[in-house]
Amino acid sequence: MPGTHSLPMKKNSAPPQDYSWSVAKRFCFFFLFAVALFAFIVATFYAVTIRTERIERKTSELLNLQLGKTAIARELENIISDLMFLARLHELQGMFESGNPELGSVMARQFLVFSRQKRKYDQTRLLDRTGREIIRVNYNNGNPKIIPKTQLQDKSGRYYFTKTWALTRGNVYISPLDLNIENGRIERPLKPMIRLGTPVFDNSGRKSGILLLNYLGEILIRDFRAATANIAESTMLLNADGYWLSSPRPDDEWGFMYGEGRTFEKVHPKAWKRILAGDTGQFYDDEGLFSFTTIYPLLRSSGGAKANGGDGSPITDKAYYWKAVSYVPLANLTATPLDFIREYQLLYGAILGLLAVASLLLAHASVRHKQTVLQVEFERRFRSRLEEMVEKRTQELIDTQSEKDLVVQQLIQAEKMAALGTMASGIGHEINNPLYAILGRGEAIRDEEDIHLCRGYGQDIINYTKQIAETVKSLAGYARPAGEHDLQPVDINEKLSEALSLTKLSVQCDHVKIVKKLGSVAKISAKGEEIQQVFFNIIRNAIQAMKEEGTLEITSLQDNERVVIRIRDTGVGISAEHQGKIFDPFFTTKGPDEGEGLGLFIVQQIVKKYSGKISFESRKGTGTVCTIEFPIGEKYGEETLK
Amino acid sequence: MKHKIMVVDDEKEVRETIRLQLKDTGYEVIEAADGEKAIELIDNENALVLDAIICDIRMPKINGVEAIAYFHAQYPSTPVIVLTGFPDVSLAVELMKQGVVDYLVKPVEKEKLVEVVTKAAGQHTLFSGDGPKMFV
Repeated sequence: MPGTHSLPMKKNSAPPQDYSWSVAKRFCFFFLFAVALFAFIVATFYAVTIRTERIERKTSELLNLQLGKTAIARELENIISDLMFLARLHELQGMFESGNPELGSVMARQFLVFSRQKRKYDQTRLLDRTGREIIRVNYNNGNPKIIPKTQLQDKSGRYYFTKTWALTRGNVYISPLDLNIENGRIERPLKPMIRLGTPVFDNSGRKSGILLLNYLGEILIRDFRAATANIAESTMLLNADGYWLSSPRPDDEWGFMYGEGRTFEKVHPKAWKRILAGDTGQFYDDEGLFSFTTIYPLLRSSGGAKANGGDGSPITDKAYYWKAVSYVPLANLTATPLDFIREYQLLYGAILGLLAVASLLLAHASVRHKQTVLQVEFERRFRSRLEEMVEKRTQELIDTQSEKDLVVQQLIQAEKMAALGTMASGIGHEINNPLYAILGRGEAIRDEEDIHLCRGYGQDIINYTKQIAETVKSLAGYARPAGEHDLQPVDINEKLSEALSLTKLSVQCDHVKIVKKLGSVAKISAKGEEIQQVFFNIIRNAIQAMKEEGTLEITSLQDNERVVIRIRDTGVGISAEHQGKIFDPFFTTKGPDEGEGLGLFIVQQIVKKYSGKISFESRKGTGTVCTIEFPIGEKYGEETLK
Repeated sequence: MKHKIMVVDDEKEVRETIRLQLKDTGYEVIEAADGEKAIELIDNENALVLDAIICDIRMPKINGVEAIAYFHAQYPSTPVIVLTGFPDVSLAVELMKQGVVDYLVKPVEKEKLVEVVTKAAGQHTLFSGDGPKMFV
């Protein structure tokens, strides 16, 4: 077997480094997979977050701009309303008609009250048709003063006079929002200013002067900023030329006042075009998110100056506008993936840690599972191989056994035939004697007259015939090979008797006293011929061992599940040196005519075949006891005991 | 003087059969169950009285061959007829050489037995007048 069937037993115990390596490989696989999956989830989360943020941001930017726009519009509405109120008040009082100088001072005091209460007009003035100031109240940073007549100036050359004078009733002139210039220099601190003017008329409807308010633009800008405080960092107010009126960067503001070239257009030319093109809108470009809305200071939704004015000329100047813009640079727009990761780094770290641990556990489990599967497969193959080998070997043994059985079978038969030879004279004796007796009786009947005697002879003939038949029967049974027939229930006592009869044919028994002690025993499962042969050989040996007169004792008894047979002789016994060889084939101490030395070998083969035992106990000179045991046939035990 | 035949055979039925077959011849039949008994009997009887001995071969204790050897040695004039169950040619030749009158195999017919016995007994009677008595 060695060499032919090398079974890979070593695979059973995988070396530890192999295990670690497998686990490491699987860990890498699982971990990378988990990380990839996790990254995908994070990326999706990031994308969704960005998207949500952008939408929120867009909405927020536009909403806040609208709030800013509304704030400006409301404020402008208020100041135009103020302007119109003063103009109408003046006309009602008939300022230009009466020529009453007292009325002038009343108006001046009204202007003073107005200035003090409103707190948002740097100057409140009335100019006559020539452009000369008639009344002027300076706010004077919270301490309004009526400027004495002597200090009143001629403003006929100023743009705001000419522009306002040109207007019809109910229309308002609004100057651009710029910084106040005092004595040819920009007033410090900066004082953003809007000049609003409207013509005033006398009772006859003649244009007689203009009313002029210098509005402190700071308030408007502050309102705008307050309204857009949520997006203060990105919100700006631009004039139509793209100059900043309000900006998160104060340095950018009022560029046009300093003659500086920096405009929104120059910084964001593409975006400016799109902002100019639309009224309100929002767009992304490569710079970031731009949201914008257009404010028309002169365009009011309803009512206002027109309703009050009643001259049918609405304040609708779309050419004059501001742009409220919010610009969120791309960089500020959303957190970068890195920022995003940094924000949740502890969580991500923990998740990655968990994934690593899980991957490691999974790798261990997976490798173990694989090893188990391999092990099971290996064992299956090993078992299958083993079964094959066992089967093959069994077949070989069966073949060998069959050959051996055949040889033994042949030996058994040969030995029988040889024994038959020794029975020849016995057969002659056993058959010819009764045959002779029959012949004699027949002759007697033939010659006898006395019918009573003849009847006696006839009965004798019947008896002798039966005797012959008996002998022939046992001989025939003995000579016949133990065929292929199945095992039968065998009566041990019957076979002992038959064997004894056969022995008598074979050897001279007359000098031996035969004692039979046959007990009630169960049948055994065997072939009767073979059991008979066993007993025949043992009994014949026993008788042959007794050269002188002796006793042969044949005992049968049942011991639990076994039938025990003892055949005891008072013969010469077996010498110690021979005792180990008695079962060897061809070992014999008898003469050449008495046997071939196969008797006990065959006896042993047969006894073993039926799971029996045979042993000899012998002392030279005192005799031998042969003990044979057979297991009771399973189904015959109870039957016999009944 | 009544003529006597000794039958030596271990089987009773054989001895009875011989007795039956020789019933009409007028011989007195005496029986011995084995060689030992036969020797004992012949030694005790007056051998000269025995006209013939019918002897089996296979017998316990002292068998036929040994017994016949004794008869021939001690009583050479007494004819011995072998009546055996098993024909053994070499043994037959040997025994004939030793002086056995005839070698019969069982079963033997009455006429044959009577013939052989009568013949043997006749020879013995022929010689008995001038021989055996003087020996004893």
